Amino acid sequence: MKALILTLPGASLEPHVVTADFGPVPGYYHPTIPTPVGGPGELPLDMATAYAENPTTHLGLVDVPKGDVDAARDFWSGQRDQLRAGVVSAMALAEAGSGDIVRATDEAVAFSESVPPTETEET
Amino acid sequence: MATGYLEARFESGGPLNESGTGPFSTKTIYVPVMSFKPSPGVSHLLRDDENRNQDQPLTALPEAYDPSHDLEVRLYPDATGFFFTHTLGLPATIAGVNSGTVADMFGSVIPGGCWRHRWTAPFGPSGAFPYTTTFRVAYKDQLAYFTMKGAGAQSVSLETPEKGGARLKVSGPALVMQGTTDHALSPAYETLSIAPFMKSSLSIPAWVGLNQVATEDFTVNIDNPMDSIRSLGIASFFPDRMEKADTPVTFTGSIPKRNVGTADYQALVNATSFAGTARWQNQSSIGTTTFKYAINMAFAALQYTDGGPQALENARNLGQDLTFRAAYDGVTASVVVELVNATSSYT
Repeated sequence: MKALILTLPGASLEPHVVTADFGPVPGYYHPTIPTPVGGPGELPLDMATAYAENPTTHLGLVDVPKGDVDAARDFWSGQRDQLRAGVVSAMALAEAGSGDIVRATDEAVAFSESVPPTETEET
Repeated sequence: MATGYLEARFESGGPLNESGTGPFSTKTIYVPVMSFKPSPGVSHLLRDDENRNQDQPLTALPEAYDPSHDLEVRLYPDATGFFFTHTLGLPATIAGVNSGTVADMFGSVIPGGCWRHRWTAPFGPSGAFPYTTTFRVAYKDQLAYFTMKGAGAQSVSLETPEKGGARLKVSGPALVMQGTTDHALSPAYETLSIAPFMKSSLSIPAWVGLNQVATEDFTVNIDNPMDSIRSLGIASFFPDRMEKADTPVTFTGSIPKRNVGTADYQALVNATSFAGTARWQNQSSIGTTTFKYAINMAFAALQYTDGGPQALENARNLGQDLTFRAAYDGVTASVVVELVNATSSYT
């Protein structure tokens, strides 16, 4: 099964948000824990391939055994509440004038788009 | 929406001048800067002192550049480690283990999935050169891109204001600043769910007269003197060599107190040496562990260098302003700095 992994050298072992030329890449990426693609609520495989093939991103498409994909899905679902709380508190700080509105907005987009819209929703 | 980024890598083979191309550390970081100001430091040759039978200013020529940089970032766990390394050199890093055999200086057991980075005085890479960084700066919306090489962390301050999060301010000279084409990089940041250290993180477990009066604030400054010089190694408008200056890396700081205390006053006037510790414990846990990101500092022989009681006036709370310096008492390292985070290596 395919998954995306953060290839930024020396990145801390935490979830990261990637901001490419076109804006924030949907979802979160970790240097050692893969972000599964192609499943329900995950990036479509063709989109993930395009991100990985973009030479300017720090993302690589890797093959992951089924067991590891399940473990990764457990990890990301466990992180979801924490990630949401991070976005909410950062937006609150930014709106209060003591935070970074650009970064908070980027991450809010990354979070909200981490579940890509279906074709039905788009039309 | 504004876009732009700052990427930083260590120059692992020594400071890079105009002709230098590497090597770099594996560690790369996109710094979530609040502000990064690169200054080219131009110094043009003005020729208005020449008599050319003209009653007008004469054109100047490029003569010398002395770049510098000025950066401010919240105290995020990875960025903190990066700039501590930039200032103090590579740390001694040890991975936490679940068997409980690795602990921080306060005895907290560090589990697997966490790393303890420790910097112990005397600091810095051995030899004549400080540890330097290459910054790649993108003013993305303005389509302007710069590369700054040989940047040193000469002056560092660690402030923990009441609100707005703890901050690291780093400034220093650099060897080269050049405009370039688009670096074509995609920044990847630590997620916002990891909080920066803040006032609520900070405690001062040990200090002279600690139980006598309340501490109001605590700021640490690191002075890492260095000089950018022209050694005539290459012909360049830029300096070609970054050298350590004569004095060692020195930790100073200020610790204003809420009240006037005689213990502090006696320590000030007698230049008494006392041990002190400071501890920042983050609200975020590392990875899937319950261990909180942490910065720990231990000072073996602090001495007050300046300050005194505030003016006596009609107020209930009259405090004192005190500045300190960390010194070596001949036995124990003057300063030990620890950081526990999720970064496995800064090399």
